[in-house]
Amino acid sequence: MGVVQERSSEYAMEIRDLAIRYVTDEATVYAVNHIDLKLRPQGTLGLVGETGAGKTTTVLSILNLIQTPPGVIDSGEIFVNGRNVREMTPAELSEMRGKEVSMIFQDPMTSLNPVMTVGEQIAESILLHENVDKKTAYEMAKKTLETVGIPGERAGEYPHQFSGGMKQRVVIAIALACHPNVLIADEPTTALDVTIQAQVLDLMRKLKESYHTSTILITHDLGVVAEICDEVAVMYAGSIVEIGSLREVYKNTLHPYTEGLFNSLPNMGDRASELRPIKGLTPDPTKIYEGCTFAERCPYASEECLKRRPQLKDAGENHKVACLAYEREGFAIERSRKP
Amino acid sequence: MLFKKSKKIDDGRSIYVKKSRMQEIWHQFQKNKGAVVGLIMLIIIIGIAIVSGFVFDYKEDICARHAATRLIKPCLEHPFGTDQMGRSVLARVLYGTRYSLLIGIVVVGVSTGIGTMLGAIAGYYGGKIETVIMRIVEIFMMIPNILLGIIFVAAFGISLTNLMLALGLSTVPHFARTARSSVMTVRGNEYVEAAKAMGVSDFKIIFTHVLPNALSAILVQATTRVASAIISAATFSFIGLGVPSPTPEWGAMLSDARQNMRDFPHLVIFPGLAIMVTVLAINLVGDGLRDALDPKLKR
Repeated sequence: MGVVQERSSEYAMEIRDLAIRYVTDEATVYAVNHIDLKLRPQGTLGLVGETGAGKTTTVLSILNLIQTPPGVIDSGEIFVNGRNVREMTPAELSEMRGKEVSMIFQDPMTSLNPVMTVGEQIAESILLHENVDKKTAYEMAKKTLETVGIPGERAGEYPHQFSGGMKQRVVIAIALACHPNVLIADEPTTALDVTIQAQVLDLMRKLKESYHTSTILITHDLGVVAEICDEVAVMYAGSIVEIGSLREVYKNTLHPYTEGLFNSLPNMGDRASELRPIKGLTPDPTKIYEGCTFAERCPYASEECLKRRPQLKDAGENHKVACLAYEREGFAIERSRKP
Repeated sequence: MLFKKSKKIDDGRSIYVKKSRMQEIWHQFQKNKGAVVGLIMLIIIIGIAIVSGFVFDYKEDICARHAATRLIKPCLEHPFGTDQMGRSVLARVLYGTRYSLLIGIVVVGVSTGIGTMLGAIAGYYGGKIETVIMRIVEIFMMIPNILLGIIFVAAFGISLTNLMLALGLSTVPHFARTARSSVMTVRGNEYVEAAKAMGVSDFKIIFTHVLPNALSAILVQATTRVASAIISAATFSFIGLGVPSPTPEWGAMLSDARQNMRDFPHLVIFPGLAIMVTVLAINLVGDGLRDALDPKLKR
């Protein structure tokens, strides 16, 4: 046990063999199927995938916030700073949430309480985790607001008095109020327009540097990932299909699904070219697939792909891919064939 | 008008500042003329309730018998006439305001307190807890209010306190249901999940995040329930299960006047009017509040 604990504390956060399904009367949805994720201290991991790929479920499990029922965690261990989240008592959990791991939610319009001033909302987190009185907490909240570029005097205002971009900054301020080691950002820029997105990303990058926070960034925007991540994990139907350093995954793309994601981006160099979306729809999450979940939509699929489940295998330095096609001699996807 | 001119910035210029939530609600409320009239009436009624406690001597003016002045019809000296005991109906009606408002507020206080807690717990946790609480609440809802009140008063005796408790308990289910449904809509909001992710305890989440946001529906319900509590109390007093005589409760006054109603209608007209005016004022305010707090009707 001791050995295991020590090894896992190399990482700020580590997920091992996590499997989660949602059970309802009608069906069982296999949301996350045996995934492993590691987050290096001060690293930024981008979690990319379509809606419904299990990204949010994965990160919610880090905070042990999966609703049970309907959620069932079948297997897996989650370590935060070397401690297993699934073995924590409610008191330890509440201590860990917000202090060690905190989360930025997708929609800043709804993730702030409309009847509390923003200062009170930031102070609430500080009051919970730091040993200070109300007044000090409020002063600290003002300072935190200033670090995200909002004047401290505005702490007494209500969320509806802020613009969307400013609200997202407030949400970031709440998440960073107690200087967490791990910050989870669940699509922090999706609800914002492009110019504000750039501001928020810029802010996140700066804060990450000054607070030495490790970050998990969920997004389906490959541009955002290129902007601030140093590692990328691509999720498809509850599994990780490709994982590696940003450079490896972007320059030396291996999985056909990742290629499909890149192909669906508009090409700025050739504006006349048509988008090439991935054919078909995401697989039915209530079905158990014998073979590769992507096989039905994959242009390179063979008979073999429908029969056997691919496992993540090393494919270069700090790069793993789950694809059976690479067992064939000399296989390369179209993107990599280009000079 | 969403903006008001108020805040002075450093160099002395005034800038336009967005209205706070309370100001916005007040602005919406003002637009409804009926609600404003209701509010003015209600303020006057509350004023009467407070002042009458100082002006009238309870024993001398309200309860003492005066054989010489029995059953005088309204005249200059006795604007509302006198009753069968020779007491001024005006004094009793004015003094009765205190009882009716007290009953309304205590009844709603009791039922809002208990009902909102039960409903909030049921709505927030869901599942088995919800099923158990709501089924019990629904069982209580099946029993007619009057019957529940009669059972209560029969068991514990006739008194003002028992009447208020009985009425309060019989209104609990309505509040539990209202609270549950509004808590359920608030529960799904991201800021509740964000609070959980921050490590805030369930108890604190219910009180600081969920209930304040679910309050508007409960508040509207509470206002209108004050009116119905006043009516129910009058009903109970009329059938002799409420406030015992000689307390000048309006329902009790109606009950006392039954025998002389035909010849001296002023005995029932004035207490009846008092009930009507008070209930009308509260209902007008309640309607105005409902419209002002409804986000769909905003702007």
